[in-house]
Amino acid sequence: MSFECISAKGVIGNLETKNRLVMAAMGVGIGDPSGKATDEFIRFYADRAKGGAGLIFTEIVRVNEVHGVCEYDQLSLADDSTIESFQKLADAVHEYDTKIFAQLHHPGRETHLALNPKVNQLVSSSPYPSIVAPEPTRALTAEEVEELVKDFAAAAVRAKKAGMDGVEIHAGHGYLVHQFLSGADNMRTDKYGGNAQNRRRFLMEIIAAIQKECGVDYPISVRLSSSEFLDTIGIKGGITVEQTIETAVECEKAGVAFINVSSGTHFTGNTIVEPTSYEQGWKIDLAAEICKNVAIPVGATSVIRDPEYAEHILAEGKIDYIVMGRSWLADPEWGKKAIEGRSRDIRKCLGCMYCFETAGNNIMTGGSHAFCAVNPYMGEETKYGEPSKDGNGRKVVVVGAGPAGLEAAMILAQREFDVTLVEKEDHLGGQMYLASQPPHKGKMGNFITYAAKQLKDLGVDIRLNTTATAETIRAMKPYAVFLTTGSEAIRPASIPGIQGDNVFVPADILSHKVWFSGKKVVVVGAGLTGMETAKFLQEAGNEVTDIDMADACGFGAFPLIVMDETASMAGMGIRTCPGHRLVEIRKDSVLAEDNAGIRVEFPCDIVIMSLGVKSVNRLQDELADLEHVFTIGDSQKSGQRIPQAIHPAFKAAYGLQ
Amino acid sequence: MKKAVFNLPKTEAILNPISIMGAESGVYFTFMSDMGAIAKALPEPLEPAFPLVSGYIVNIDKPAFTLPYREAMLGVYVKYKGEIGLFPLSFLLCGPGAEMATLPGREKYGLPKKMCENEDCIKIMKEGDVVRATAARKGVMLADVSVKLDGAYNNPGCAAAYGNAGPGQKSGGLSYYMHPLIEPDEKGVPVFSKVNIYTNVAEYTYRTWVPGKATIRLQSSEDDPWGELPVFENMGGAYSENDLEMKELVKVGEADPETAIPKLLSTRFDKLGLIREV
Repeated sequence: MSFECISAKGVIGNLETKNRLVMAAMGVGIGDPSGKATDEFIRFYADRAKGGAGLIFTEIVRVNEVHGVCEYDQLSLADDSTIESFQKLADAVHEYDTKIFAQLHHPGRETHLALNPKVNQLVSSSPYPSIVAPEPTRALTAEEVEELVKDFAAAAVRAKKAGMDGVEIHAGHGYLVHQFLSGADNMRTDKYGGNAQNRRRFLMEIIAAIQKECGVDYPISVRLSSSEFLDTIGIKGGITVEQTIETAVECEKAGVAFINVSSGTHFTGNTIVEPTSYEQGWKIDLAAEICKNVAIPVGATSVIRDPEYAEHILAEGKIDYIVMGRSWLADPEWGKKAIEGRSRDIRKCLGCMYCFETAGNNIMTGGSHAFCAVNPYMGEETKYGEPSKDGNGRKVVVVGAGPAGLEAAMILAQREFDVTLVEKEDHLGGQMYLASQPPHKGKMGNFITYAAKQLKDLGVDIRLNTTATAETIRAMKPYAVFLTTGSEAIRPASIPGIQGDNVFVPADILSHKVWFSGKKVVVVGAGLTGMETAKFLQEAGNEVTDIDMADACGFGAFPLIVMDETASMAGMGIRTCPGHRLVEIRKDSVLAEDNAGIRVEFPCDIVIMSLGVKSVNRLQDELADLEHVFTIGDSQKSGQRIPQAIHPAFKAAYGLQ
Repeated sequence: MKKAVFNLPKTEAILNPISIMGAESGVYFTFMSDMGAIAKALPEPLEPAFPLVSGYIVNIDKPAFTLPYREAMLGVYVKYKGEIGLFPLSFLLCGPGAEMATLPGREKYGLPKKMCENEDCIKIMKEGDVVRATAARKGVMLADVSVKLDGAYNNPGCAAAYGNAGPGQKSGGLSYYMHPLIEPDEKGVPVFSKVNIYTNVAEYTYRTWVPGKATIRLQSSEDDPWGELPVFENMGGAYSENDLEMKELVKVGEADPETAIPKLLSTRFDKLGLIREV
């Protein structure tokens, strides 16, 4: 397949882009509180420019230091002190003929007072606090709005001075400009509220002010949410695609050079940064509607992961530019590999939200940055260069082909160790393979597909259906052994009935070893695995009840992922009963005890025990006398997540002396 | 005993008793559900405010307008014209006073009230620091809630749902109701011609309020959709003894019968009462 469309040059205003691939703004926390582009930050973007991004939008850049701070470590163009660092950033990106825009941003009410200590109320179009993170909020006065317009323009002037190729106004995702655009948020009765034209006034004044200060030919991009999707949760008045078309048309009339289409608001956050369950292209038709109505170029995000799909939607004329966020985190060379037709060499995003979660962890305090579950280099570009090729053919045995084993084997093989990967199952992936089996979770298998191709190209000796023993490992005379043997389901022997033939574990179900339909099923455990297994079984035509001793389904997991899981469980009609501790499994029921010690019987034919896992690491002691033995991932500590398998495996393999 | 007469004096022919549910005691509970599921249950123009659901299962020993009865309620938080209030989705009643608590409730407020078939369909059982309340109708246990009364909610955030509930305290909360009006059309077919939206303040005066760890189990039957709101997190519960006064009713708007009625009937009528079997 050729990739003529994504590799074609494009024109945005007076700029020519080297291709049609755009990196969206993402807060990754690599900056510092001064708002300057740090060396690490510059390297992060330069790597994406080198890797094939034609246009990069920086992460959010604040324009106002009083009530406009959204993240501890975010970029700032609120004063002149950061211009020099932005110049360095622009220069680094320009080295690769990539264009870069600063994304100008004000969070409105979607921030925290702790980040804005000079004020005691957040600001918005109207005096209503955020629903997601409510803190005292007041409406901006008309005079303050006019001052903010000037702030945006002043920040644009600084961006231009720094050599940035343009600016993007963030008018989506529920932030301040969006809070004016949305009829669900904006209850003003002055010239900035009421009808759609008045609600757009703030945005249009920002555009006009930037043009006045920077010249009409200085390219402006506007990021818009095509739809807030509030109607899906019963809330009226939210932005619809029809309204966004009107806004895009008005932007075009005003001289805007590019429309960057996303979706969602904070209350519908999963439509902004989508969890795994959202299919590639799920919202592209909304962007296509906008694209149809304007002549200026339109780019859009839509969980785009595959170059073939990107090429297809450009060829069909749905949009003009492919905008991606997390795909560039997972593989900085996404663009280069795509254009070269090396789709299978792309390390694709799983949609696991680990980046979003880790970025969020540092919003208030800094100290660390976002991490990508499958790309340990992300954010650490200045720390880890290309792995040294000094393995010299030394033998390394990797036991277990879960995510940790796959990552270790790839890095070791790149380093020219002689790697043998031993796996007892007939497939690669371990728990990750199981995680890819529930409905709409196929993307979790992206890493396995990628790793399989890399291992083959690197000539790794893969032995499936092979159980490694201390003897077989010793017989290979390894220089090092990586034990990534994973985990197995917990089946507490103390539970009466646990040995019954009506009792299974998620792995039995998700690996297709066991299949049934038309049964009453109780899943014991409503963590992510339990919920996904429940969905898998409900979809197979069973009537599922999911119970858990914790008071909340998905307890401890990332809230946006939990919300995605629970919403789909609600849609499927799965009954959930948190706060129930399993007491006994009977032939036709499960007996559980609730928070008050009351015993309740749940009738069922089949019981699935999803109580977590325990490490499998029998070989660790048996090989203790060997010099270089690494136990990683679930085999080292049970219940680890994907990054806790991949990252330590990377580090151990990268650093093996 | 003064016997009833067909023709009441005008001064007595007024449906406006004192709306005090005196000596109310029982279980109050709140759980996290799903916005989409709540939206599906809500008639327009009400909008869901949060994915929270609250309810109660209580004895009402000294109602000012009837004999003692027991009542279970399931409600969601809604926003209407910018104001947040509780919208009761369903009430179940039983006991000697249930009939005269159901009929005025339905006719005056438009409350979605149904009576259970037996006196003991709704139970509140308190023993030591554990209270369990159940509501069953036509053989199906629709709600089964227990609370371990240890003084703290499952999730501290639950406190926001109960304001300043506590012994000696008063707390008032806004509620919304939808009152469907039915009349025959020109062909004699009964149609819902109008749906009024009412609001009022329900004021609790608490004698006791003991928070605790709730466990909430809901199920649907053929006639009652209580299980449609999934329980994703037990937020908390309490045992309380209080008096509840319903303040003045205010009409605040109307709903479009065409969109609202499909969401208002299953909690007012059983399945067989809704359709004409051919």
